[in-house]
Amino acid sequence: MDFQIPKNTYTGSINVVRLGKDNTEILIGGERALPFYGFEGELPNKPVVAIEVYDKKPDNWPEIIRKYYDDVFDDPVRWAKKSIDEYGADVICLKLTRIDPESDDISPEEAADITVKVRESITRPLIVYGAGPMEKIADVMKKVSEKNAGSNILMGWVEEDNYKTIAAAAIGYNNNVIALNPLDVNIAKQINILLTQLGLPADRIVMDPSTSGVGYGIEYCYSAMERLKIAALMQDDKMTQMPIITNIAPEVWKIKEVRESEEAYPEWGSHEERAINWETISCMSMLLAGANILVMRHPKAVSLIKDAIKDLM
Amino acid sequence: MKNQKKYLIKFIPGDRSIKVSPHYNLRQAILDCGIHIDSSCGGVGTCGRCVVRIKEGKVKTKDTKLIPPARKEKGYVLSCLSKVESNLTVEIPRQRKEKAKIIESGLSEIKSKKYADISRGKMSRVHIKPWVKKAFIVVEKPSLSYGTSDLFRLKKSIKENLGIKNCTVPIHVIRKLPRALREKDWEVTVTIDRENGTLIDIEPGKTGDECYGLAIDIGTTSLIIYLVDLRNGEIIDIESDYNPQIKFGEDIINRIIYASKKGGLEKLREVVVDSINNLIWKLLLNSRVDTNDIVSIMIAGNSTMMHLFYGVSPRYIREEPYVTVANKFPCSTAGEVGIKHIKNAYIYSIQGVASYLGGDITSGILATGMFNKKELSLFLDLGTNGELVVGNSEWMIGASCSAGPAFEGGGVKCGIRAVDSAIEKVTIDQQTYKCQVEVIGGGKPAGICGSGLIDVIGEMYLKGVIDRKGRFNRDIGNKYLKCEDDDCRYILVDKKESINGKEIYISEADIDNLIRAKAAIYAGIKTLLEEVDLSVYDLKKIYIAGGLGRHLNIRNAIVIGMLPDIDIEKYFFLGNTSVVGAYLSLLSQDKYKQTSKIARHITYIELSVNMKFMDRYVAGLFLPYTDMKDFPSVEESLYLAGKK
Repeated sequence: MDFQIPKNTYTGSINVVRLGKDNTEILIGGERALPFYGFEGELPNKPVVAIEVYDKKPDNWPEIIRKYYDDVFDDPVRWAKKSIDEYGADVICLKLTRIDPESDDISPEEAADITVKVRESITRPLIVYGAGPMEKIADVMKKVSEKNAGSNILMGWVEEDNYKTIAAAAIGYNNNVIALNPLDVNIAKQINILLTQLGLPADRIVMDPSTSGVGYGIEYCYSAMERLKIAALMQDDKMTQMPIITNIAPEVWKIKEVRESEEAYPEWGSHEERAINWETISCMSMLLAGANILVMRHPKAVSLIKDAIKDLM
Repeated sequence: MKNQKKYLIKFIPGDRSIKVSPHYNLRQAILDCGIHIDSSCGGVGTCGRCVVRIKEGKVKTKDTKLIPPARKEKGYVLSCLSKVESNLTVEIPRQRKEKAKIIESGLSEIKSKKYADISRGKMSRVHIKPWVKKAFIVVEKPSLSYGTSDLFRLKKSIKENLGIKNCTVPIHVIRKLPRALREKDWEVTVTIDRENGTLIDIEPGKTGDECYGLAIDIGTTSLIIYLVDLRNGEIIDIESDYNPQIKFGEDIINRIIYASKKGGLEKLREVVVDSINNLIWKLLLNSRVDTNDIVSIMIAGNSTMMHLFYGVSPRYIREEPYVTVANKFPCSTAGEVGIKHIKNAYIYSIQGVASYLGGDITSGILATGMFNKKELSLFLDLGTNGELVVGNSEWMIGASCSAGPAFEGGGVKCGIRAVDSAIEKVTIDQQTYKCQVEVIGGGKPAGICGSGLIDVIGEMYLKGVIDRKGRFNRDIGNKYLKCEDDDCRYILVDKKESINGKEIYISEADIDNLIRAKAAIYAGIKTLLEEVDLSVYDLKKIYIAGGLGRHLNIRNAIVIGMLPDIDIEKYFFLGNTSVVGAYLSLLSQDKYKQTSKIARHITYIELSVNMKFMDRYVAGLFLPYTDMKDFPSVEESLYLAGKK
């Protein structure tokens, strides 16, 4: 008798979220089987890689990553373009750090203008994160959503205790929202319920179940994501069917093993090779757990991950 | 040798003062001085209740967000986070007055129908046969030809008349023997503990058969004593008060921590025994019962309370693997444990199951009678801790779900216990969002008790004042909602309407505490049932005990997701069942023996290490529950409300 691969049947599917519009539009989510189980169900949209772009030169990046972006640090538009044209970003993840009162404390207007400039000059969809106190982020995101009305940008992030302003801005101007939860399926569901009750359509939500790098508790992130995907696909739990984003670059790049030079730890070998491997393996783990969008930093890691996705799909 | 420097602290109002060493903890100094100061966290800087004002002098204090900057400037500090650095004058803000008597399921309540179901109804079937009994006997006279000892002849007579062989006669009774026997020509009345065969007292002549006992419940929050006529089971009077140990920590864990400190155990024992003595004295004064006629005492309490009452260190209850020193304490005379006035009465205690499932629960199960029934019942004691037992006459399984004191008013700013002037019922007007309240004892309110808090959360949720997370909806035009930045308060009672001129409100922090408590209770129920492969729909009866108030709106308790969404008819709210069980045990040897049987019968499950419990707890931090499938009737109510 021929060997038959045992197959699971799935009752649910992941929502399809639209990022960008017209020529920049891509779809994420939509899968009807566990990650890469193409033999069990449809996986219409492959996972995508977003590359981080900051509105200001980051002051603590090690040389091995700085050298790839040194010529574009002063201009987020050029940075975004380079990430797409040279490094193959599917999406740009713009991080607004200058809004923080402890940084430049720029106004919501000014911050929103930066996001518009970047969006208008690239051919890929845009994710926007704010950094700083929650109230400031909320004010900024309100403006960002208004000025990018109808562009289906993805805005980060809302939490259980602080979702109303940003969610209202997303509803009012037709944009998408990232719902952050602390590695907890119940809390993930609770935020999604709160958001949908406020009137945000379920297909405008992307979940971020929090993440970390290899060696720093990634197993826990893995199992939280796995539980979310199983609830979504096998139990048809509507409040877990949002696609998942993992904002993993900042987590990987703060790890000692990724930051320390070869001079400091000769026994650890080449710094750059080590960092690339660390980011790649961390991202690979998240892909296998079901990430739909990965936020990454090192161009070589991006390239390895994109190859892997191509091979697996 | 250097003189140890000391600083003088004066406390105002009042004229108390104390000298302490430099860097001494200010809260400790206040307690040392015997001043009551609220501190539900036990002095670790998290509850924000032990705030005082430094009028003169210097303290070194850790920064805290619990005091607004404006108040910090005026010299307010958390005493638990402050060290004494100079001579001080310290103002102790007026503490919430808690002198009022606890409203208990008092005499009237017991006579009411519902209570009758478990106490009086049962009573009719209780064969009154108390442990201790008075009996009139005649002892044989000695003679030259029959020269045996007084004691020998007394024992012989007891054996012949009462059927008790070789009874024990303690030395204090032997001292009374020669006179008592001869005064009324060898006719005496003996008070005897039949079960243990111990002679408690002897009096000359026929004194009558008056015989009384006390049933005592030592709760983490309150003490209650019934004075009972042992001949017919009549409850003569009831007295109750707060457990005075509260000032050393509002919950069990903080008491255990205090008991581990030097002198702490003795202090805790002393204050509770003193308080019990005071209550007994009041009962004696009011009832005119003769001290000699009180012959036995039955005590129920959770394991920690029993350890503290008997002066036994409860330390290992708190440390893994969480064991008690004893689940049942031996009987002794009242004098041996420090009870005055009725030193010779015998004290019995009700056996507990485990560290966090004590004699109060065993006693409660006895009161419900669920161990005699085939039908599957759930017993839920919503005290400071929150315990539950499920089962029937064949098996029982129990657990504790550490819900915390929120429903007894702890950790809620305007929360108080179920005392006079506590708000016990709340409804909210859908159009104006104005609260209608009902107050225990009528009159103006002072705060909200457990049943009122359950109503508030339920009503706020149903009327859209809060979202499912317990956050206020700020844009619904609720003019009773007052916000300053992030801090919002929903005013339930205007300051003009309250007893002390302060508004009664509920904040998001209060709501959080209540949601955490209700989440723990529901998670406990669900997890415990699943351990035995049952669901809430298998339950035929749910008995709810605890000092939440006089009435509990079961529907609202379901709406907030504290109790399972099943037929309301299956619920029975019983008030304090621990004291009722003690009362039944006092009257009947058979009942008392049953408590030990019940205790041995219950299998204890430790929930604190159960992953599923934690998972459901987090799912419960939402109204009514993350998964609406568990609460279909609530979903329906919301749907109907939305339609209107």
